[in-house]
Formats: sequence, structure tokens, C-alpha cells
Amino acid sequence: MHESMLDYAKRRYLKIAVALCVVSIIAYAWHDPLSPPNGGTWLGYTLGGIGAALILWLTALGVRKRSYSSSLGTLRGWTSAHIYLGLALIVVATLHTGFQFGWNLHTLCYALMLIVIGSGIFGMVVYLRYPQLMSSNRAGIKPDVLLEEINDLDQRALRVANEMPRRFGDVLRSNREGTRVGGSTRAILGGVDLSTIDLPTAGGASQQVPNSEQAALLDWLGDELARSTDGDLTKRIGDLLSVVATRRNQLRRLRRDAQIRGWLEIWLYVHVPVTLALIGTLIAHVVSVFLYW
Amino acid sequence: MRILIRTLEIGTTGVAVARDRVVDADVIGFGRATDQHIHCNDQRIGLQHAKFTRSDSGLLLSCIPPAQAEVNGRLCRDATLRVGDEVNLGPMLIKVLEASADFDAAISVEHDARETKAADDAPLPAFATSLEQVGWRKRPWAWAGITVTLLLGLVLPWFFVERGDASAAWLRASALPSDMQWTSGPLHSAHGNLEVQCEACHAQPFRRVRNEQCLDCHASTLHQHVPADHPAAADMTADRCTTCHVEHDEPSNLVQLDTRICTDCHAEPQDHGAGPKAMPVTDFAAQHPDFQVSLLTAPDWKVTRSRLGESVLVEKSNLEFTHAAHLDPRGIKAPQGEVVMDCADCHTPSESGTSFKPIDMEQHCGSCHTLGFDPAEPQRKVPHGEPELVMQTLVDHYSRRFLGGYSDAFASADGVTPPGASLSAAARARVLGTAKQRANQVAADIFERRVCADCHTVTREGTSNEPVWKVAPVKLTQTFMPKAHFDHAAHATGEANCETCHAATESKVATDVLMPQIAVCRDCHGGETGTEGGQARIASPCASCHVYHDEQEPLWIPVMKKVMRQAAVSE
Repeated sequence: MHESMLDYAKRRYLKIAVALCVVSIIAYAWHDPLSPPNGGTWLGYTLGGIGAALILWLTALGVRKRSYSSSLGTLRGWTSAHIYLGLALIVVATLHTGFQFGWNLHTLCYALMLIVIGSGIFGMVVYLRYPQLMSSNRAGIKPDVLLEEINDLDQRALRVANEMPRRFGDVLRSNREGTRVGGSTRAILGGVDLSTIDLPTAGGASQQVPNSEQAALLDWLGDELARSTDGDLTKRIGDLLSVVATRRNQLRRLRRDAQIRGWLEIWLYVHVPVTLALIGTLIAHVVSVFLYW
Repeated sequence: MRILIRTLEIGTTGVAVARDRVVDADVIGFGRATDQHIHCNDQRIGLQHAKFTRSDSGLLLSCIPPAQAEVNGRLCRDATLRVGDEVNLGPMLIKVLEASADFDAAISVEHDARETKAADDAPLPAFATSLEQVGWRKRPWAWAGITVTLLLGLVLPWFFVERGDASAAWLRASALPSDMQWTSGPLHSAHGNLEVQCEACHAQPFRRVRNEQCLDCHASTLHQHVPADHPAAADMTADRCTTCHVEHDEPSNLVQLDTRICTDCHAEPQDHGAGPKAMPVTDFAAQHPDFQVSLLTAPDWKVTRSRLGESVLVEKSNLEFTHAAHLDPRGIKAPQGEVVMDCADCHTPSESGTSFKPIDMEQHCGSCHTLGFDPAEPQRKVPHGEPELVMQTLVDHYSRRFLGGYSDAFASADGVTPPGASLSAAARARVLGTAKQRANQVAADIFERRVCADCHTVTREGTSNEPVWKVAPVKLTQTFMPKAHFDHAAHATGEANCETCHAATESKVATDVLMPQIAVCRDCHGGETGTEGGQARIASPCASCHVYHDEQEPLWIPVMKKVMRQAAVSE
């Protein structure tokens, strides 16, 4: 069975992270400073130092990830350590605060850290689940192949339409131009179909209408089928309906693929920028604490 | 079925090259899998896409769902093929050829020429399927994140702090983020006025708050714990004010209540230069010596320190008094009859309620113990003062009375001088002599038997004709435990009364010391944790009763001396 990043090296980093948490909690419980527990006692400085070092090291994953030639551990090992030690950071940093929070820079630093870790937890969950969804949706066919297949279906439909009245070719070409996969954040993440199509109206002009899931086109073809009295035309409309239905299924897979990829990425747009904001705040936190010692 | 398969490929020279092969099988497979007879390596084609079989009417095509084929331009799944039919399967075009007698069927397989042409038609629009394509960016936001936080969180406030107090104050008053965001917790209410004056304590960047900043306000009221020549003073020179007085914490910890502040030294006092008599203290409940009391002792009124419980202590105040008699529940004789007294009749609380006003003879004793001496003139009193003044008062009184026609049993032998009569010098001298005699007689009575003798120890000296009395002076100890703070008002809980701690009703002599021993306190007060022997008590750290900064000890740490000197010079 595939060994996930959580089980890497028999959960070595889970053990290290748990050990770090346990040692921190025991030290905190044992430590009895004259003042209320805070970041400025010797234990407070120690936990703060460990926390800051962890934050910088965890950020280094972003550098290591891009360094394909690095021989400094495997990327999977780094990711495993990143997850477990990142979670341990919650314990270390919370004990560092001594549970003293306020409307100040120091608590802002803590809050940003929680946002980073929270988005990381989200990322971990989607990374554990979504790649399987993605491959079951793709069923071994890559998105660019699906696109080729849609292209193929379109050519096939247009060839059929060549033998039919002109409006069929016009509608199919407009369908091809109006087809959308993704196109906006909402469309990508919600799997929303923003496709449109120009359909002929009773007056002879054409009108653009939404064509989510190819529904407008299938309806239009259905109407044409019902009206058709010519046996040959009826057969050809039936052919087109079959092609469009297949096309709809392939588009659905493409859209689902984009949706899964979107969710696999979206958390990083929080995780990475907030990490940098956290580092800025962390520097301000450490410097200001000693500036006003 | 024996079938000829002719594959047409465009060679490097651009000329179509035909390759023939013969397959003998019941089913001819078409698909992407390598075991197919007609193999097409295109992703659109399934592993097993379609198959050709032989039927009576000719070659039979069946597609494996969901695959479809285009036969002569018509979509279908199954079809019976005749010579000349064209089958379009994905990128491939399969034509049915005329088969010679050697074969059951013949087909040609080539790439569909329309496949390349199709690209000329309207292309599919480019799909924006990734977040980046719809405008999401990490890098600019990351740079913005680190830049904005550093600028607003550090650089801006620091710049204004470096420019001076006025600049820093301006920034704090503005809507921009100032150094106020660096405050890690609220100040103690006592320091509330410094809330927006960071520089009052944080005078120098990257330097810990120094004693000078505290002394700016506190120099005149601060005291040391021990004198400068105390052996333990060396232990304290390294301490800063902020060792104990830490700000910006929640809960506020400005006044240090932790027992370790004291027990670090007092648990083993001899290790810190204390004399052999100093006893170890670790906790009020667990280890605290019996109380010592300070007693003013006659005749030289030196303060002696004695430990309660070690022996029966005697307070040598020279007062003749008994608490038991005064607190007799049946009452005590007074000029106005029998009076039942309670403690508060004499012990009136001080303004703060923590202790009591000194006992005052005129106020507390005088209402009963009147200093009258002449039943004929009860308002006339001797002064509560030196015996000489008492004598003068008596002589004056009786001289005036006898010269003015006074009559009493003692004087009747010599007759009465009528009012308004003028006396001869001899008669006047005789009357004054009688008056002096009478004064001596009354003096002996009040000094030795009643009035003065009720409370004082009086001795008679001088001759029988010119007696002189000496009254031993009285001084009452006002503060028995000067080294601890005790708030009487705080103990007026209704559950405790005076008798709870002071056994006054049983005290029959004035020399009794009525101060309670430590066990009495421990009935309610535990140690730092507020327990004793597993029972809940009032938590009582050292600072409940004791203070660190001894009011008797002036500042001596050199830096403090320097500040004091500067203060003195500026005055």
C-alpha cells in the first residue's frame, strides 16, 4: 500500500513532535515563576526560541520544495516533518504566551501563526483525499486528452451538421465558442458551468442563453427532433444528441478536475502569504520585546 | 477469419507506404492495448475500443461501449460493413477493401486526413481552469505581507521613538499604529498615568528597565529591606526593582505576594548572615516561629522583645488595673451607678480602623475615676499631673474655703470666719495653717487610699509635717507587634470578637500580656496555599502581614544614593 506522508519513516516525526509537546507541557506545569507565566521568563524565552526556530525551519520547506537537486533528506520526509512539527508549534507557541492575550502585536503574531497552521491543516486534509478523487475522475485520461476528445466530438458533430440545415452548424459552432470550463474562482471551486450558446429565436435572430451542462443545446436538439418529419434529418439529430451528451460528460470531468485542482491549491494562497506576514510580525515581535525590554 | 490488414503510413519522403499483414483470428481487436490486432496509440481510444467479426452478410463492426464509430459519416455502435465503407475511429480511418479469394475480408488502416484539417476550424476557447488563471497570486501578497507587517509593526513606531518623546507621543495620538501595539499587557492601575508614556520606564532601547526610572517617582518614599551594613545586603545589590515588580502581566503582579521572595533567604537565615537567634521560616502554616512582642518596660522604658509562649510575659507599665473587673458582666461601680462595660468603651479605633487610639486617662478613665476630693464641692478636681500640682491645688482650695467662711468637721474647732469679716494678720495665719493641715490630710487620703492609688503606684516621702508623694509614671505599649501589619477592621467579620484573640475577661492583673499566639491566627489562616493539614484556610503569604521595604531603612544601593544626592542638590 502507498505510504502516505503521515506514515513516513514509521511516523518518526510524529514521535518527535509528540515528544516536543510532552516535554513542553511538563516543563510548563513544573515551572513556577514569581510572575504569572509569560514569554519573558526563562522558560518563556526557551519556548519562544524553539517556536521561532520552528517557524523559520517550517518556512524552509517552501525553499526545499523548489530545490529538486537537494540531497538534504527526501521531500516526503520534509513534508512529514513539516506537518507534525507544524502541529506541535501550536502547543509550543501557546505555552510561550502563558495564555496572556491582548490587542497587541504579540497576539497578532500568534493569530497569524494559527491562520497559517489552520490553512496547513486544511491543505493536509485535501492532499490526503483529493488526489484519489482526481485520479478516479480522470480514469487514466489526462485533461489535455479530454480536450482533444472534445475537439474530436466537435469535428464529428460538425461533419454530421454539414449534411443538415445551416442552423445546426451555426448552433454547434456557437456552442463550441461558448463552452467554458472554470473561468472564475467561483466557477472553478464550485464546479459551476458558465457556458453560453446562441440559439435561433422565432424572429430569426439569435439569442445568447446560458448553456450549463449543455442543457440548452440538448433541449434545442430535442425540440428539433420533435418537429422533424424528415426521417434522414431525424436520424442525424439523434446522432448529434448522442455526440453532445458524450461531450457534456467529458466537460463534466474536465470541470471536476479543475475543481479538485482548485481545492488542492486554494489553501496555499492563504498559507504562503500569511506565512510571510507571520515572519514580518515575528521579527517585529522579537525586536520590539527587546527594544522595550 | 482470415483477414488482410493494409496499413498506410506516410513515409519520410511524404509518399504513402503500404504494409500488408495477414491475421487469422475469429475476432480482430482494435484499441490502445498492445495486444490488439489493430493498435492505435491515442488516448481517446479505449484499451479495447472495437472489434471486427465475420457474419454471413459480411464484416461486422461492434464498438465496446462507450466507444462509438462513424460509419460513412453516421455515428453508430454496431454496423455491418460492405466493400467501400469507411469507418472513422478516433484518429484512424478504416476502409473496407475488396478481398481476394484467399481472404475472408480486407481492410486498410490509415490516419484520418480530416484529423489534421480539423484544427483549422474554430478552436475551443482557452479554459481558465487554474486559480492562477483567474487572478490568484501568492508572491505579491507574500511580499506585501512581510513588508506591511515590518513597516507598521516595527519600522514606523521605532522611527518615531528614535525621533524623541514628542514624536512618539504624536504617533500614539494619531490613528497610525504606534509603539502602543508593543504593550504586552495592561499596566497596574497604580501606574495608569504612564499608560501612554512608554519612555517613562523604557528609557533606552534594548536596555532593561533600570532602577533610576522607578526612583524618578519613588525616591522619597522608598526604603530598603535591611541596613546597608547588614551581611545580607550583599545579596540584594544585584536585584533590580523589576526583579519583584513586574509590569504588563495578567493578572497584574506589581505587588509580589510569592512566599519565595522571603523564604529564599529566611528559610535558612544563617546562610545569609543572620545571627544565631534568627529562626527559619518557610510558610505561615508549615514553619513560622511563635510571635514576639515588643514591650515598653519600666523604669527606663526600653523596648524589650519577648517571645509569646516561651514564659509568662509581664508588662511592666506601672499601671494598677484589671481587665476582668472592668469587664464584669454584672457591672462595675461608677458615679452614675452600676455600669456594664465593653472593650470599645476604652479602645476606640484609629482613623483607618486598623489599630486603636492610645488610652487617654481623661477620656477613657475619667468618666468614672473622677479626681474630686471635696464632697462639699464635687466639681472641684485635682489635676491629672505631677504630685506638686496636686498639692498646690489642695492648698489653694482649702485656703480659699477657710478664709471665705467654710465649715467642715475638721475646721469647726477653730470656728468659722464669717463672710466679709476682716481678719487680723495673726488670725489669717492661723486659718491658713489649718488649711494647709487639711490639704495634707486630704492628700494623704487621695494619694494613698483612693483616687490616685486606684491606678497608680504611689510612695510617700518627706517628713510627717511636709509629706511628699511620688507617683510611678505609667506608659502603655501602643504597638505590641511592630514588625507585622494587622488590620483590626478587616477582622471585624462578625465571626470574631475581641475575646476571640484577647482573653481580657480572664485577666486579673495589669501585667498580663493579652496578645494572641500564632495558633490563634492559624485557626483561620493557612500558609501560601491556604491549607493546613488538608483543611481549607485563608491563603496567607508572608506579605499578608509583613512588608519588604522596611520604613526604618533608608535607601542605600549606590545608584539610589546617587539619585538621592541629585534630588538633594536640586532642592
